[in-house]
Amino acid sequence: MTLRRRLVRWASTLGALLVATAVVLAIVSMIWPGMLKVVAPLLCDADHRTPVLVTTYVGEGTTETMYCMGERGQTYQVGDLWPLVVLWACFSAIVLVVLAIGRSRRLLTRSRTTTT
Amino acid sequence: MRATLAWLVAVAALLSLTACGGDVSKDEFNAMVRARGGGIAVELPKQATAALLARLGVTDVMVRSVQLATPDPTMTFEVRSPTRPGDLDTYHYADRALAEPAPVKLRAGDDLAGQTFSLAGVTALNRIEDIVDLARTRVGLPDSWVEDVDIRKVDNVVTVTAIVSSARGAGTATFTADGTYLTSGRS
Repeated sequence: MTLRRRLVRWASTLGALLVATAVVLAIVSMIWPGMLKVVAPLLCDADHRTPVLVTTYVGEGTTETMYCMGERGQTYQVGDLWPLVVLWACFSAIVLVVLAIGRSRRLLTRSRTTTT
Repeated sequence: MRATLAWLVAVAALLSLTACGGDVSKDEFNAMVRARGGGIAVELPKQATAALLARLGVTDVMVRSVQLATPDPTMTFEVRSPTRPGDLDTYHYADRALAEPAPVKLRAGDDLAGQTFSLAGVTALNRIEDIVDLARTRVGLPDSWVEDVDIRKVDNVVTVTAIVSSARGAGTATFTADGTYLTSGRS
């Protein structure tokens, strides 16, 4: 397989993975918005350790906004886009690592069976 | 493949566990802020003042009033324009950003030289957390919070007024510009 073909294959796998994780996340975060709080340690600073996800009703829909809260009730808004983006990146990275481990294990088993 | 699936399920379960608690409504969020004292911390005057001075390109500025409010932390300044001393502008700081100034309509009797004071002279802003705690203690309402701190000249003296509130009552406590306690009372 040429290098170019290999690169195209890798890029398309990665693209498919990103789309798949985005779809899964979109569905899960709609059913359970609290999921977004997973990435709070990456978005909230040391003085605002408590993540709070606030649901606001806008017309017929809802928006989720994440706030980071400190001990005195001081808050700042992280927004609704950043938690999703960070969660998407983390989730994709985890799935990528899991798939890579699975593939390397398969390759290892295959090379073992061919040598024996 | 089975092992990969098991891994994915394990990761999803772990993520779900750490995400326990879910989301809250805006009212519940405000209640959380109040349960912690109201949300006024030293970072608010620090960041808002720095943003205001940077915007104006000065090290101090004359103000007619300063107001800190919660539950969404905001700070509002009525600023005497450094370049046009006859004009007063409102600067509003919210969501960690300073909005564009809005002009203030002056009355015929307004004397800006007498009504304004130096923002740098209000050193109480540096110890706003002590002021919040003391105001709540002095007013003496259980489970209270400070919802507003107002700074302006009262009888020609710069006075810091903290408005304390609770589910069962309200009150105020006043302090000098350097944060020394003056009076308190229930309203």
